[in-house]
Amino acid sequence: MSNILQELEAKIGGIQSASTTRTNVGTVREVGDGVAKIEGLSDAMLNEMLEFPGGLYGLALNLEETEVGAIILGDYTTVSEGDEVKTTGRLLQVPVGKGLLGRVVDSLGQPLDEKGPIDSTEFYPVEKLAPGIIRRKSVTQPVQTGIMAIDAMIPIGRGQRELIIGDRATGKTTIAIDTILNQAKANKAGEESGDPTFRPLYCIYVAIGQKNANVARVIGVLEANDALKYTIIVSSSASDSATNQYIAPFAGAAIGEWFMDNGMDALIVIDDLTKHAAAYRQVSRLLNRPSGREA
Amino acid sequence: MKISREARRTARELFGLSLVDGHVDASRAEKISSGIVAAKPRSFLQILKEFTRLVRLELDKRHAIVESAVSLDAVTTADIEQNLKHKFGPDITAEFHTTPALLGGLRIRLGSDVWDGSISARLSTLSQQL
Repeated sequence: MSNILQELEAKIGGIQSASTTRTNVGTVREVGDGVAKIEGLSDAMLNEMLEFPGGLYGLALNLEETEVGAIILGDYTTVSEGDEVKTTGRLLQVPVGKGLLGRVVDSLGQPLDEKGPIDSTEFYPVEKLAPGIIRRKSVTQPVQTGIMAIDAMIPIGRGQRELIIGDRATGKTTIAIDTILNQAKANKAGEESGDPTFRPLYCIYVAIGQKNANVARVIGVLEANDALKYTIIVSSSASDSATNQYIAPFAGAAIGEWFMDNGMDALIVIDDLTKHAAAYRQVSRLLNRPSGREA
Repeated sequence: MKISREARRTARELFGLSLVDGHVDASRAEKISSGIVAAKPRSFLQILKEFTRLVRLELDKRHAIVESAVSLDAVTTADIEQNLKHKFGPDITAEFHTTPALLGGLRIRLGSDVWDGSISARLSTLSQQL
């Protein structure tokens, strides 16, 4: 009890003795469809988090001579013209770590599954430079999808990207879910065998622009097969704003990078990139940016 | 009003002409705006609006807004203005406002920089940290 009091008093003391803080601010000139144009913010950095009134955050994407174009992450209807926006000096981050396993989070890493707060103390930036080609190891270990035709004819390796293309309702998501289920099976068998060299493959399923019912069905399948404990679901459904859908795969990649940096393996399934491209196009058109994307 | 790219470019060029030693010269700005109104070039209203916006942003960089919870006496305001001129240059002007929501302390805004030493800012920092 006394420890808590001491801690609180120390915090209050630190704030009382703190000198006046300098912040860089701007004023919202225009807002619509999750995108705001902000006048001022002369010190804003690219991809910096911006603080809007009401605890809302945005991401600076366009730095112009006299204004900044930012996407608003959350309910943008509460933002209005003339609102004051502050720079935070921080990049957009998501919580990472094993505490996310078995959880369903949104594109900012906030829980959606009503299982309480995320047990994570580490954060990774959403936008990060990918490791160079020289640093990467050659593909040496396969990912067993559990689908014999794929594993025999077009095997996938750990450290590789694979595009699943197909018409509507031809089973693209099914292949991804089957792969996740197979990893759970392999992970369980590996853990039971007690083999110290066994490397479990954790899965991250990023749902972009999908119906909530579809995401719920995927979660149900994973739960029924006891695969959710090896899986993290990042969901940005069709009802979320285009800006949140745009961020979702980056958040999934950041969560996966934590496993990579800690010597573990992760499989990221992004379902699907067509909807991400549509969201990116929408955001780009509002920000007067080219709607095409780097490969 | 949607301002076209061409109008923006013209306004930026005219704004450049209104600067003397990096600061807006009032007489030049006045002459330019009168010139635009008299000549009425294509989309002159857009040019004028954008030019006004650029001038306003530039003037805001040299004009401080000082907010306090209670009204300040003449000695304090003069002292604050003098300190601002000492720190940022002799052409700085200041405007004083009373904002009871600050609870105490001062909040100074100059351009897009804000120095917030108010009690409300400290309380919000405290609530964020807790």
